[in-house]
Amino acid sequence: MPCEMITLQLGQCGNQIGFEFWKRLCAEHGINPEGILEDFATEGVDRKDVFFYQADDEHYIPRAVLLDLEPRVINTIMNSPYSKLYNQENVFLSKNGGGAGNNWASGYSQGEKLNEEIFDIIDREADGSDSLEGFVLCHSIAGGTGSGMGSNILEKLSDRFPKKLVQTYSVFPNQDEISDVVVQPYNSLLTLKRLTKSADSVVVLDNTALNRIAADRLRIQNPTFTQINSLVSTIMSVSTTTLRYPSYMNNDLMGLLAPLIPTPRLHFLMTGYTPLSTDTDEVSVRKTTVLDVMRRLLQPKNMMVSTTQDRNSQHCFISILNIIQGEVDPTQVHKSLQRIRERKLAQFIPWGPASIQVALSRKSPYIQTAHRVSGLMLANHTNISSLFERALQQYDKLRKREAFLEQFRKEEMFKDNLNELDDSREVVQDLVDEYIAATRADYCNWGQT
Amino acid sequence: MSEFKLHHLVRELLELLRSKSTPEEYVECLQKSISANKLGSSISHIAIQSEVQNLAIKSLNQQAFLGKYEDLKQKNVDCLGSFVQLLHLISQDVGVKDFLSRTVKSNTVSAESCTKVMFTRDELPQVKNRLKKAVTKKSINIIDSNTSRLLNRSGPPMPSTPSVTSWVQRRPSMSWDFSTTSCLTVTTQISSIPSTSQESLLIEDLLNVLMGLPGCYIEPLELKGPHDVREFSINECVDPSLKELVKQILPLASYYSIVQRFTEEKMRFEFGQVNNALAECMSAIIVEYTLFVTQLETESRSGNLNLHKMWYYIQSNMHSLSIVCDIATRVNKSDAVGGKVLSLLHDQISAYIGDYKAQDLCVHLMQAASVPYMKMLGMWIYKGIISDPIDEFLVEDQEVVQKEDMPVDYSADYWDKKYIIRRERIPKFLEPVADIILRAGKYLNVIRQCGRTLNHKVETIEYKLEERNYIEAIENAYKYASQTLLDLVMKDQDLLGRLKSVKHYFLLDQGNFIVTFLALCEKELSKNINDVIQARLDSLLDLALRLSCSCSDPYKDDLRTELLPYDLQFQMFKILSIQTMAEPDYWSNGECSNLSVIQTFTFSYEVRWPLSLILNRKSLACYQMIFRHLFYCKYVERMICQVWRSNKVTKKFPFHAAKQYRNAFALRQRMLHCVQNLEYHMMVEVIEPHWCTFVQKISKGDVGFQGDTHEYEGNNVQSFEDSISKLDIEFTSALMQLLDQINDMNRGTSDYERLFNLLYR
Repeated sequence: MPCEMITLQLGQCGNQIGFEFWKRLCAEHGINPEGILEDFATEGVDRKDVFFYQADDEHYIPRAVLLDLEPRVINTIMNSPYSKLYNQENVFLSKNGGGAGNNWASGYSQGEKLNEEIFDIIDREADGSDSLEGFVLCHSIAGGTGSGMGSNILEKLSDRFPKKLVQTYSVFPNQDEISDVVVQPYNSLLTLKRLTKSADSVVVLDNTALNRIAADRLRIQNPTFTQINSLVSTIMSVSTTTLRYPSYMNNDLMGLLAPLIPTPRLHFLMTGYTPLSTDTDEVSVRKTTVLDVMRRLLQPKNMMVSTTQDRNSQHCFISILNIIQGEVDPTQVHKSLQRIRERKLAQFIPWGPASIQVALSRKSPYIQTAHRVSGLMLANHTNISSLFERALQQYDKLRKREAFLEQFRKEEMFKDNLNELDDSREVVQDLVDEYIAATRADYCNWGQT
Repeated sequence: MSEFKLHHLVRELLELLRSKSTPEEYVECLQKSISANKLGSSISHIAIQSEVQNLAIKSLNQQAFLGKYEDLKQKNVDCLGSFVQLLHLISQDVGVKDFLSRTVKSNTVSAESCTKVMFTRDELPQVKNRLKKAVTKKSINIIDSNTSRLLNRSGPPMPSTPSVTSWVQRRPSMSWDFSTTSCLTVTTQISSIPSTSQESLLIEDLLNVLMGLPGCYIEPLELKGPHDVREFSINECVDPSLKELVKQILPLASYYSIVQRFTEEKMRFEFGQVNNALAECMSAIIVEYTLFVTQLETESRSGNLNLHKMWYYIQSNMHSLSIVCDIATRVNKSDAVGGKVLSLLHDQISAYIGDYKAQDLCVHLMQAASVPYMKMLGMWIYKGIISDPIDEFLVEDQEVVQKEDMPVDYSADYWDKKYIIRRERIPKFLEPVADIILRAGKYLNVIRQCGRTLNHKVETIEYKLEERNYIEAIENAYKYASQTLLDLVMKDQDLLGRLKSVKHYFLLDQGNFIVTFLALCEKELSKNINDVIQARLDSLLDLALRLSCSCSDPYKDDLRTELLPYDLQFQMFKILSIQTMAEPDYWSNGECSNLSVIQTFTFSYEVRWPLSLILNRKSLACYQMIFRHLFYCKYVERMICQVWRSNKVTKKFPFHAAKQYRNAFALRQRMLHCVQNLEYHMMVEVIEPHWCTFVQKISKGDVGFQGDTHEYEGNNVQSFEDSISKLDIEFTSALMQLLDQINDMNRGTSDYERLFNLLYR
């Protein structure tokens, strides 16, 4: 079966997101925690084989690889009802079990050492699929394992599978709180370089925005990880619905991503989802029309990325894809798009064709939702550069003081110099510049002498 | 009238008139006026009458004209009214009149050059009249060629039908209609007999004459034609007062004579079952009548009868026999068989409204006459069988090919052409339900051909004065037939599932199948058509079917690949060019050697009987066209996406190198955007809503088969085709060329990228 995706879950955060993601996929496809298809779901028209494969005894196994350097999260997963879902061979725990100590360099070098074992697993999975479309990587960029080992794996993946797509779901740290990870700016920057150079598409999940949304939209004062992660899993599952429920269009990841990412470097995507609700919040059922959904998706407060609102800047959308689920009349979509265009609710780049693309998708028949229509927006917005700018500022603050660098110097990479850090800074700065240049009409010729 | 028929007729007419103008404009003009006049098309009698009057006044030969008109009217020519209107219009239109008289002059001069008739100005109106008659035939010919056949026909109606020896013809003396015209007994001079005695002799004679035997003093005259009224001559010497009385009674004998002749003639096989039945019923009336005559004779033997009494007794019979005679004459005059006889009778029935006795008689005759017809009707609407040896029934089986031969277009032809209604054969009282009758039987035939047994009971349908009696029966039979066929098609043959599967493949509903297929066939599709092996495509298709989620489709094995010798653009232009001047340009198949596989590739789909009735070649061809268009778009999209994927290497290039590509990226993005939006529009905004309404209409499902599936299917495909080809017609050249260009450019750009890659590596 073509267009298979292999999911790699890295580190504490990656595994937690992944766990929620698989939980949700199972529910949507009618697969029980043991991997066995429920009776009511035997006649589905959905494609389970994008993310699952069938074992000899007909039960479904996720194409997932669980990687961590410390056992805590993976153990929790293995003690959950879903423990039997995963292929045990695909669960990789570092033998020393000490973790990466929130240190990118440590994670990176451990990844380098464990490289062979990890890629044994990945190669086996890749060989097991008919025509692999690409990889999905879940991680956070702040910690040690997800960022460090993740960076390492990203580099290796793009070398080993140059024709395959690599998509990441990257959790960016919460900038409102003071992090307990002091070297977080370093970690973020180093990871960002790899995300820029080795990933084909990065879905940015900003913890700042996720917390804000949980507090503002869902009215949860102190959101737990599980609540936040269920938000993330919603986004992950909805963004893959067109692959899993085939319809006229957008049936492969390539077709989905190509229009979103016109130039390879500008591949950081924002997401928005509406209407949001959690299990505890069944009361707020609103009337949802396509126009409502589309309009709400364009509001910054619904975005899962917190960007500074700068009125003067020329920031604009490079591309938008709205995945609308539910019973939708195409004429309504047409009208809504027209309305949005008339009111100029969305600003687009001046150097290329751009409009809101719409993909209509089915909902899983096994999950009852209170809302008639729901929508996910995948958007490529130049405003995301503000996130990177902030990362740069924080990095600069630390770097000026040369703070906390001794941990890094312990590792091979930084033993002699800190060139890697400087290099990363340059890459990220270029990225920011390119995003800003993309807001101008002369972007195509920008930088050419 | 269908557009094509109209077109054909107009062209014929123009050829006849040797006009050089193209038929299209006339057709268009005619169609407009037809749709405008739809309501006013039935011309009132009064209008016709006044027009006839006008014409008569204008024509020189008034009597001849009116006579001809009456004659035609009696012959029941179908379109007399409209013809008169035409004449009227011609006579009003000076230009046409002039033109016609000119052409007629040249025509007659050339045709009858030997007679060398020179027309003078004075004779012109006469010529006009003759021409009008000629045109009558022509126009009738054009409007309905069958009518003219009826007009021109003489002698036994169908030479091909087997005929039974007519004993009456062979042995004239067997006839009960004055086989001899002179009395054999010795006649005494009646003048020598006193008038009172004359009376009894006359009564004797009359009784003979009334039974078709010649009397001594009342002698039948020879007939001029086979259907003429028989006249009698009464001996000169009869007392004038008695003579007058006898003259009053004699019409009865004439009636008898006509009816008797009618029964004797129409009993023959070749006049059709309806005539046979009518004749039989009439002969029963005759038998009753002779019984009456016998009673009169008894009376007269016992000396109780005189001419006055007889006159009194005869009254009631006189009336009824005159009606029968009238009917017989009408049938004779119009040479009616089958349905037409019934229409005639039906007219009579409605004409005698108010005269209960007469109406009863007519209804009686009608009921008898309609028995064989109704039997045929019953067989048809309950069993779908036509048992109609002499072409009387309104539905005709046009079967030329057997189903077993199964030519390609069989199913398409089957539906439209196998059974047709012969309009001129429809009895008037069945006219409103004629289509229903046709369809009912047609459905039953389809059901039977599917190997189902029809256990529907044949009920006898009877003609009744209140039409709902038989109309209801017919409608019920139709409902049953359509319901059965609908069930058959929807439940047993799973039409909806079929259509869904067709949608999956031809409308690319399940994109992942197409993605798989494209991925597998990518190399094959870009090859030249001569370098590709179709078997390989077939096996790849098979693989794709099994790999994608369509492997759960029960009908996937009916899908085939096909390589057509022309590309879609050519096909579209060809269709568009039909009936235009450019048509001959597309008769050849064009150059197929330069086409690549993607241009000629299409799916074909095997549909089995009886679903092939619905998904016939025509609709499949429509589906194919849509498919080719969509498939081409998908292919282009995929090519662009491939370029996108190959572009991702540039991320790792140093900053200054990467920026060189940006123009190419922007172009690629523009192309992708265009193709994807086009696809979105076609698939989501055009196809899907049409599909939804279509499915809804089908699943309502109780309206009837025809109304339900066939038409909607047609509509559906039509509307798909419409909206997409609207798109295509509007942009065809532009769009397709654009796509072509994009495709080329796509190749161009990928080359361009490669060049850059090479340069910078």
